[in-house]
Amino acid sequence: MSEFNKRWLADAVRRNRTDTRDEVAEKHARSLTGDAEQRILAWAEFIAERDGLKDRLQAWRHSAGWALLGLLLLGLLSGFAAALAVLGDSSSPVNVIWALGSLLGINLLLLLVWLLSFSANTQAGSLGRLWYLMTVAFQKRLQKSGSAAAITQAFTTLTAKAGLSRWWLSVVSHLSWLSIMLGVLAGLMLALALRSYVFVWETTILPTSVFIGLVESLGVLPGMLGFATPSPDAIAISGAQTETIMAAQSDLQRRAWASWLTGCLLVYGILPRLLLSVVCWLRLTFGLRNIRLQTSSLAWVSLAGRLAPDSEKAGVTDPAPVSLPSFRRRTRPGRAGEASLLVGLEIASDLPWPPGGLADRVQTHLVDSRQQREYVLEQLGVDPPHKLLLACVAAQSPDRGALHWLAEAASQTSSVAVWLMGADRASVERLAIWRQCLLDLGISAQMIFDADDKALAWVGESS
Amino acid sequence: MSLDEHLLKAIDEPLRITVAGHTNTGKTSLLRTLTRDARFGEVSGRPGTTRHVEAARLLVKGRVLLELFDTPGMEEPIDLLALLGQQASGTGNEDGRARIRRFLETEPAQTRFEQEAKVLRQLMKSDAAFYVLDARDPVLAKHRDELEILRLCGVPLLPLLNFVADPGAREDEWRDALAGLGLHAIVRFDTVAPTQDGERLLYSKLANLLDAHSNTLNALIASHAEDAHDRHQSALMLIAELLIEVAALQQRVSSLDAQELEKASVTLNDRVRAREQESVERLLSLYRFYPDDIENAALPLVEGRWQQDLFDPYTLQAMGLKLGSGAAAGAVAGVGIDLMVGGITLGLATAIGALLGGGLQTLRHYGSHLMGLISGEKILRIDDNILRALAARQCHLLQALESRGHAAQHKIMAADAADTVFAGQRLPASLRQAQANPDWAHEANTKPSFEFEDRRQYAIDELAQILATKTDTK
Repeated sequence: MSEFNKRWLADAVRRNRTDTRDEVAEKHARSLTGDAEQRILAWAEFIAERDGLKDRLQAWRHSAGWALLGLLLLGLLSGFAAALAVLGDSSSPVNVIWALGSLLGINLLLLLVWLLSFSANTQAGSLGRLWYLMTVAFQKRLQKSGSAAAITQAFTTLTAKAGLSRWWLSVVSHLSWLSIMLGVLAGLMLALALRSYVFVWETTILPTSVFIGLVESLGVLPGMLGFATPSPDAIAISGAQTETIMAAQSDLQRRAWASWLTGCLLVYGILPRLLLSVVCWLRLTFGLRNIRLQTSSLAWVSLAGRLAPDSEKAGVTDPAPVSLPSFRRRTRPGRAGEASLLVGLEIASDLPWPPGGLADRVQTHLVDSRQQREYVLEQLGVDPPHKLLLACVAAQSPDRGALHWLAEAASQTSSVAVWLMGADRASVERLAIWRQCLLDLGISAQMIFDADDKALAWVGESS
Repeated sequence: MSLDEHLLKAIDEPLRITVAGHTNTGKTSLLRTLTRDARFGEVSGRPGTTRHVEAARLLVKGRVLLELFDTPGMEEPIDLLALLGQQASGTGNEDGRARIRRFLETEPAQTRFEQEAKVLRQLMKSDAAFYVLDARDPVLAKHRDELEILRLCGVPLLPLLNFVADPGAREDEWRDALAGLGLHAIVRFDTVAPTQDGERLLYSKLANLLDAHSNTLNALIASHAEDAHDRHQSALMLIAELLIEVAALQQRVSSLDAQELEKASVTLNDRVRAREQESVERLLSLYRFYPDDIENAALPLVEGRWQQDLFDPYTLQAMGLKLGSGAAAGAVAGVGIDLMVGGITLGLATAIGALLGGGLQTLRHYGSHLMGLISGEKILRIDDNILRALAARQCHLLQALESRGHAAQHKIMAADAADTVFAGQRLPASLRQAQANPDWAHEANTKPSFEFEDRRQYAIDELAQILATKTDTK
């Protein structure tokens, strides 16, 4: 399968499904190496082979081939018939200029339209469209399944997005015209071989020199390929009254006219179409080879994300322990001294400390560093206070380090309370977490204050 | 910067980055943001939510470029540093890594400092570490000790200031403290709501620290930039498709009797509501949001839905829009009535434009319109201003999705949001074409066609381009 056909198939598979999820196919695609597009192609091929879409795509291509063949045969036949009709039976002389115009005129006119379509930014190639309609008609007639539409849409949109619609339309169009012109050539050769024609030209108003100039200039290019051009005398004679020519035109002159006519047909009718067929074909095959699926486009992005994720979990590399160290306050009754103490743990320097409205008799300490922690614990052990208020900043998250120290400090005396400072600036969730942690330490719920005045009043009371 | 394939092929080893930090600073959130996987790990306001080390990989074109390790928070750095000090005092001069290695073999590393040991063990195996800190916290002794311990591992540390957009953030205080510890490369990164180029800054700062791995990080930056661009394009296509489909919606009524109008317009409005919700869900999934994510607090949605009904007159009023001018506007909100079928309401210009763009197909629709006129049928379709409101809401959501953090500050729809998309009297040509093509209301896949040109798709592409210019100028 060519690179384009793979992508065509993939797009057809996508269009043929209402849901792109297909666990088996995705698993298959993920097992292969490659980027997102490669995996999508593998995904599509897997599904297409399973669901028979691959065969239907082949059938589509076959019917397209048959349609093209039919079109070309039709062209040959119609060209052949047209040539015979234009030359007629040899009973009357052939108007040579008129005949050439009839055989080449429409071809050249449509060639001009085709060339102009580049500047007008439209897609010419009406015969290409005819082929498309024939192919689609085959599909509609022969295949009842819905996948024909998906295959067709996949082809048209893939080529349209890559800007190749013009080129496949053009290839078919030029090939069709080529076959018509070949038909014309065959008809012409047959008629010239088996019949005796007299060639004339006619005019009502133009001088003879115009015709001599026209015939000679048209004959230059065919002349290079060895086709004869009638001599000026012979041209002049052909313009005379019919009766005189019948008698005057020699076999040699008639052969020159026949050679000129054939040469013009070849050079102006057949060669341009042949050349353009090849050019457009090359352009098309080159373009088809470069078509890529836009895996980041809306159509593919979710599948691409599943087949080739940009991140993946790699699992737990170091599992959680069964339990974390926990701390609990150990109470030592009957050791309370006289003093009231307020200790602030990890209080930011921009908070007011010591807090306003604090009774004079209350001593304060700030604790942050290891030295401070050790010093205060030592003091508490040596001289346990009557009342100990431990202040924490409610907005900061509790952690094991803080809780461990609080448990140690609270173990030194019986009358301990915790003040959650700045509770109004902390979230409800965080306050609840603090409370739970403190309860786990063994601080009773009524000994946890979040109102400043209540905490300060508690530590300030003498009894 | 575009992704260089050769550069990518030259990368053989993934970069290993440990995410460390004090407890509850947003380490797992950072992993969620960097992996774009809202289902990674577990996130809560409780300290010590993550108690294990969990890895995630970032891939570009099927290659693993980065391995990230989420670790438990450090909680007892002060006592740990004290312990490390005691262990060191006996052995004289010893470098940091050796000290850490020796600590990891002792008993406290299995028991009291088990969590801290996990972090250190992982850090020793990594190329670098992000040190996530909550910029709202004051700089405390425990933070200094923590950084002191982490530095012993001899791995480059990139401090990451989280929640730096908060008014209570103490950015300068932190910068001073980190500079004092010799950490000068610092990055601001909101793990829940990063700015649009936050990730790029993060990775380029890291690339400066890790010169040997700058290829890897540059490839990652380039790939992410491409992804972001593609995602934006896809989102615009989603919105354009929604608008085209809604514009093409029609409902036929046999008379203009109030009851029948009511019934038909309810049907029509329900279809629009359902389609809008579908689009919201597709946008959310494109940006990998799940309706139950806590991050949704940053979006103008509640449980993945708009709170204000699209057809509520206040919704439109808030955007400076009014409902249609038709006589029936009061009776059927948000629905325009095509009285002169294919004529006045669609506008002659639309009709001609549609004919030029559409050819036979459109002509056939006009034929059926005329049939309707003869049999006395009327056609209801969605009011232009409803389309404007839809466009404004979707573009607003897109912006919120792309800059999650900024949306949080103005959760309510700004009044001018609607003006910037499709201002003026007339809707874009592609939408007017859709109004003349009722079969565009169906998704392409549900109704296969053999049409040579997918004009519906052209209209969507064209509208997406218009939306792109509208959303860029904002």
